[in-house]
Amino acid sequence: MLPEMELVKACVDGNSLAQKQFYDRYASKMMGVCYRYTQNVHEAEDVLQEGFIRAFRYMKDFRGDGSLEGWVRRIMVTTALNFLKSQKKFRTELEINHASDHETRAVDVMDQMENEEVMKMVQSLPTGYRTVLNLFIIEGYSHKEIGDMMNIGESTSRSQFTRAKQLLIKKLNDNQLISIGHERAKR
Amino acid sequence: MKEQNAENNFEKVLAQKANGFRMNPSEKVWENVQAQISKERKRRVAAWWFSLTLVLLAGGIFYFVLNNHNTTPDKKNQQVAVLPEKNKPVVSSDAGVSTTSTDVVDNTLKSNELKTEVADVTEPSSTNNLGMVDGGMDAEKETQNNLMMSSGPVKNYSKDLMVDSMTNENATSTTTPHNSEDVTVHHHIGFYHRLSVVGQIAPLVSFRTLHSAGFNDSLVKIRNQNDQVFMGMSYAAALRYDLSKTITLSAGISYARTGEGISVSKTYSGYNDSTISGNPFVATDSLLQYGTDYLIVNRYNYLEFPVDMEVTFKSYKTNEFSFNVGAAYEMLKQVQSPFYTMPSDPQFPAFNNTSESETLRNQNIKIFGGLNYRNEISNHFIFTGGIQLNMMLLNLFPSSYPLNEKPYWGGIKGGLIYHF
Repeated sequence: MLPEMELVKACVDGNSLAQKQFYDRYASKMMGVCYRYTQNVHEAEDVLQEGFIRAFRYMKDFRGDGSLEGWVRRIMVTTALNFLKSQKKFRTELEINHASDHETRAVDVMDQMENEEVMKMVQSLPTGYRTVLNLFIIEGYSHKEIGDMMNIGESTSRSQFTRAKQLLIKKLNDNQLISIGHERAKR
Repeated sequence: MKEQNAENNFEKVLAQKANGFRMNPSEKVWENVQAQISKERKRRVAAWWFSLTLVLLAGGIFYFVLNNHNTTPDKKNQQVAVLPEKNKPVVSSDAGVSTTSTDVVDNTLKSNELKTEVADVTEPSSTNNLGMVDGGMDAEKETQNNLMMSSGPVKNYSKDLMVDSMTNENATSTTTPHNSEDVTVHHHIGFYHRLSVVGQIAPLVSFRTLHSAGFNDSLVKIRNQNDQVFMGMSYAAALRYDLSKTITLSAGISYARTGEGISVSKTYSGYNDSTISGNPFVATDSLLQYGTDYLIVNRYNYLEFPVDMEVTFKSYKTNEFSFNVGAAYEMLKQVQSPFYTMPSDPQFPAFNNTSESETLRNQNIKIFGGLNYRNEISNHFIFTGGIQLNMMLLNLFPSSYPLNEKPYWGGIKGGLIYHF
């Protein structure tokens, strides 16, 4: 397997084997990233495809200042945000004003769940909430950066995030209750 | 403290779960990516070849004309000296490649004291190097022609030009008595086989309509239509070659920058799947619903490398009417104006009153055609005005600028051409 910079250079030179290697190296991980921002596998694949095309197009600008994976990831996140903007999917869909006090239990529930199950929970959140949650918790952007990226205020990002988290916790706990109900029904 | 720990734990566990999540895309994703990057590479190569062809074409014309100018005059037949009254040589048209200065001849003409003397004429000229019949013009007449040409803006000229200016019925002339013959001063319109370097500055008004492809898959259909009006300035430099009295070829570079333009954008969107609900764009089956209609303010920057053929179909004194057709390699940048504002839309609060500055870049091959009016207002300056219609022939980067129809745009422009 080629080191990062050699792989980049080979891709820029148009080496199709290197391009395939680059794709194979990051495809599944980046598909996970795209899936978190979109509503279904089909949309995620569209974003992934566009993201890789952009990555190959701008690869000559990669200077190796950071990791290649981080660079590709940023492209995927930006592509996903553009996709959401183009479809005008940012909106506050739900108002949840009550504070959840079940956070500790939600952590335990989440711990016991598979990655895929947790992602399905995240997937079920409204687009605006899910996007802020992804950007803040998983990508590590600040609320100010998120505000700039999504063209919303910093405080809006903060409140969206709080609501997203509350809704996710509620869903996790509800899911546990449903599971318990199923278990009891089986007995 | 306990709450804070729980919060941190929640975020930490969620991040771990998300980062550990992998998903394999279908095979067709790589196939599509590969096809697209291969296509872009081919287009990039095609664009380079196109540019190279333009440069070679311009160079070829330049070489041809330069070569033609050096060989056109019949050296044997044209040892001509122009002498003032006091028999002092003013200008020697050695070998027909005249170095006569306009000022000198103008002064000479004003004085009405011209004398011509033909030296070393062994035989009359019968044809020029393009095989055009001179009509038995004798050497003295050729001398006259040299004088005629000297009033034009082009310092290097050939016998072909002179003959043409004599036979061009549309050329304007003034006559000055000179011994037993008249000296005719022609404007340059109607000359051919002349190479000029021209510069042009022109205001432009552009109307443009774009139909972007948006998305169209099994789930969603979105397309946008933008009708735009812009005003701006264009700056151009070109090598211009008068192939004949009526046909002119040119190749060069042009840069245009528009000011803030108004764009009326219409979005048509809908879900292909009618079972999806909870969205204002729900449509039944594939029927597209009319979406948002709003104004956007943009600017455009164009850099073009055009090749152009212009045909003059009507000349009257110093006026010319022509049509032109050509093709250009165009680089386009769209800059969203700081004055840009989206209208308030209660469905999408995140989009309200934003001031984002998006840019869009694209490269394409366009074809164009137009009608032009030109008026020679002095030896170096020509006023020009006209209308032009453009159409994108080949979108070189459709992924960054998806369009489902070939955009066309037109405009009016007017300005000054400077002949060096």
